[in-house]
Amino acid sequence: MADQPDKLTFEASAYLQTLIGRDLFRSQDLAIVELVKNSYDSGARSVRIVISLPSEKRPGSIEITDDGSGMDLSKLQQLFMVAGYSETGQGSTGGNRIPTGEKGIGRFASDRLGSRLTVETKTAGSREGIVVEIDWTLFNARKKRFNEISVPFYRRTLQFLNKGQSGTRLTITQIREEWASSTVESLRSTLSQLLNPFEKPSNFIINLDVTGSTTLSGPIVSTPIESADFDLRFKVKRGGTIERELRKTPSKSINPRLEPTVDPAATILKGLHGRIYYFLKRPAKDQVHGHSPGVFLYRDGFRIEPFGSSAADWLGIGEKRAKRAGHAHIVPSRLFGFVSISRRKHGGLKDTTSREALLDTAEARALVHLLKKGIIDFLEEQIRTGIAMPRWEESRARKATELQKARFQALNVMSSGVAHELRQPLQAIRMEAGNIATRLRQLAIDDPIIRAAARCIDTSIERIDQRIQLISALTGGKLDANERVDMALIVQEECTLLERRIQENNIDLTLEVPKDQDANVSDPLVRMVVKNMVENAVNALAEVKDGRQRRVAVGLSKKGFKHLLKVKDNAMGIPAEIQPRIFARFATDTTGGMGVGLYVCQLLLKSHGGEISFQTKDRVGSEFTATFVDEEGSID
Amino acid sequence: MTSRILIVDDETIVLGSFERALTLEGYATWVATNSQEALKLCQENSFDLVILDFIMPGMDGLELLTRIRKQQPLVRSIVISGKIDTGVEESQVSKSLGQWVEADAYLHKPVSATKLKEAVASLLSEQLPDDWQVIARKAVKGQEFKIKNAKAASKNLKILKRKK
Amino acid sequence: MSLHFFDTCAIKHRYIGSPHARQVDRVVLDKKIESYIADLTVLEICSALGGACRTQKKGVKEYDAMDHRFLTDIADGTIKVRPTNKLNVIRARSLLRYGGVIKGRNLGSGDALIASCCLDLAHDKKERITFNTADWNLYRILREIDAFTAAMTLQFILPPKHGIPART
Repeated sequence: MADQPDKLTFEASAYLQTLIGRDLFRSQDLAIVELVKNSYDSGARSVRIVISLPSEKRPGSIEITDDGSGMDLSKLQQLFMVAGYSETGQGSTGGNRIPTGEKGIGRFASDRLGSRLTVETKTAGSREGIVVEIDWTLFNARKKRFNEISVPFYRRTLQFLNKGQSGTRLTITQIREEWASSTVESLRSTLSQLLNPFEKPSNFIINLDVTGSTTLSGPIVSTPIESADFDLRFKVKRGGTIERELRKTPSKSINPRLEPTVDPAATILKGLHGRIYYFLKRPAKDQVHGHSPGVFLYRDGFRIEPFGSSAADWLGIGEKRAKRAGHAHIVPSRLFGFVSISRRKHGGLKDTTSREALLDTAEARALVHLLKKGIIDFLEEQIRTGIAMPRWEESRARKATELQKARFQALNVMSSGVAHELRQPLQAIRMEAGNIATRLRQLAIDDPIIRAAARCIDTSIERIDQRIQLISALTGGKLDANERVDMALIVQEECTLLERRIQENNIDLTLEVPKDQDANVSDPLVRMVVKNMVENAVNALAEVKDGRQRRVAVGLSKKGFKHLLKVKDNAMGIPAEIQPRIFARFATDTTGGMGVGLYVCQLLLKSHGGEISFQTKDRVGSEFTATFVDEEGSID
Repeated sequence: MTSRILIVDDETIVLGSFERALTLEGYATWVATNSQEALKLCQENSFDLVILDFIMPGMDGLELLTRIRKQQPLVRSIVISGKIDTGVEESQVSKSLGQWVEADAYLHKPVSATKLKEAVASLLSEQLPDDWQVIARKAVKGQEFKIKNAKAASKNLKILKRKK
Repeated sequence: MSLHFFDTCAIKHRYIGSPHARQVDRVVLDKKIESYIADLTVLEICSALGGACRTQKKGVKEYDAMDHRFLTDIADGTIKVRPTNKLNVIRARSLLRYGGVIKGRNLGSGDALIASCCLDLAHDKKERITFNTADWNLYRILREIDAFTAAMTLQFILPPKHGIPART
């Protein structure tokens, strides 16, 4: 017959209490948070924390009072006095609430705050409450067993509860650490970040009062952020489908609803959702309502530490920026994230016992992966690609724009200076040419060649001056602006200026222009085009030697938003070899003038939405048509 | 009686060409390359007409004209320039100059000899009024022109736009 | 409306800060009086003002200011300018012959012209004119010529000499 083994049982040292109480919670704030969560789990609508700072007359104390369901003796014995047991962990809840605690150790958090705890509790149906007085120092005896430590209890009427009311008050005395204003402020800040501002647990208010101080007292408020430069919402749906919506971006043209993506690893995160706010510049305090930057994680409305704190760069955003020497597109201090998970849907996302991290599970890893790649990287891409440039790119683009502006300005200044400089010698040449002609007349020398030469000098100087004018207009940006003009008048004026050349070449000019033709176009551009087209026709006709009557017809009409200028001549037509490159620079090296003029005309017309075209027939003539687009219309 | 003309331009080749053109027409001409020279000449001589370039280093043409008018309030004037937008018509500039500093005419550079002579002849053919009160009024107005107004006129001239 | 005429040496007192300015101003600024000068005075005043500037050690700025006031008086009609003509020149020649040779007085050609101009005005207006002068020589000669005293009241604007009254 085989041996039946003897049995051994584990027992717990009384010191275990210290390990799961005082030593487990790294800060007083977290200990109070734990006790507040217990109140929530008991179904309380409000919990009031009263801190009495120590003084000469009395020592300090912390009192946490709630209006939860309270406990009778049996519940005290079964729940409160059994370490590691949590009713909520068994699935039962107080009302419709999803419980926050499941480890059954929250009650020991008070040891972190003070070594004496008085529990006063009453259920609604009881006449009297129960008072339990616990001295946590008794548990320091390592040699004693956990269950060898007994705590006294009394039945008595609880002053803070009326007949029919229920609730629990924890009074912690023999405070371990000194409480000061800064400690209270830190607690207030922790409590304000405890609840998800966008999905606050309903019917639950936390009040923090400090005796003797109105400034430090008051309800805990958590105001949601209303707006930022970027507002990204996301949700994980069935099958790992991630839906994203850019509710707000600096660019108005973005389609807010983006194509969903699928991440199989996120399948187990179905139901996870959240929102990310990002500011392009450091936000003002009132923009973020006291929220700290970071990506916070909430389970059923309650924050999971330490996610979101500055020390926990759990998504590697700060690390990424540091690696790129400050050139990462997302600046951690401008990012505010609020991610929600649920105990029921995301059971795999469990806290560590110390409540300071999630256990390393597949779900936890999927969560980090989803947020890093699916959300943060996505947001970074949106910022990078044209919606708004990071500051360094913005500065580079701005510098490039300023450099170009400076170049144009310099060109403008130089061109007006150069124009003036060119006009001085031109003036001298023109005047002296006239002086020579006058003197010769006075000397009674009247020679047709001399007269022709003088005229040629004069004409040439006028042409040079016109080119100077054009260059000045181009570099001065005068051709850019549109204005209300009468195109018919402009055509007439420009043709009048060319009258002398037209007459000298015995050309019949016909003007077919309406009485007036209002347009919203660039005045200097129209003048330049008219002058170029008519001059070209005149130059072409000047080459004609077959005795035909030279004719130029200039026509102006309107078609919808287009203004059509036609110049028709009966010269020899444009040679076939020139036609394909007629609008190119230096299309011809004849003196006919078809050099830079048509190239510039086309360039400028196109920049204003217009165009220039031509028809030509050998030995018959050519017709050029320039189309100007009225600023208020558009070309078909 | 031979009319006396003062020409002021900092560009000597231009100055020489103008001097020759007007001398050939039978006018008595004096030249100055800068405002100080011009003002000194006006102290010692009286002129029927002064031709000045708008842009000169130091004191510009309009300020010079104002200072000359204080000494010789009845002198006629032609302002010339290569700097003003030649898209703006000369008549428009003349009109503006007339309003601001009572200059009589304006010509864009490069001006032809014919055009200059026509402008000079036209201005000099205008008789002085017979009435001393009218003459005195003109003289007083010329003396009262403020230099700061001439400076403002220079500024306005530089940004004169083409008439719509 | 009474008429007054000023020669250069009288009217200059209005502009040169003279103690006699008030006497001239009283007439010139009186709206019931029309004040005249000859067109020669428009030229002579420059010499007179120049002389005053030299005496008072003033510069061209002060000169310009005085001249400006003079021109303004003409411009706004406070003082009217009577043009001289060939007839005035001929009359002045006669006056110079009489005063300068017969009476043996040192009479200036400008003074003679101005006096003739004034007489001319009196005949035109058919009214007696008061001729204001600060030239004692001119005053004494004109007193002795009936043609002038018949049409003009002569007024010496400075203190008279030798017992001769300032007004004739």
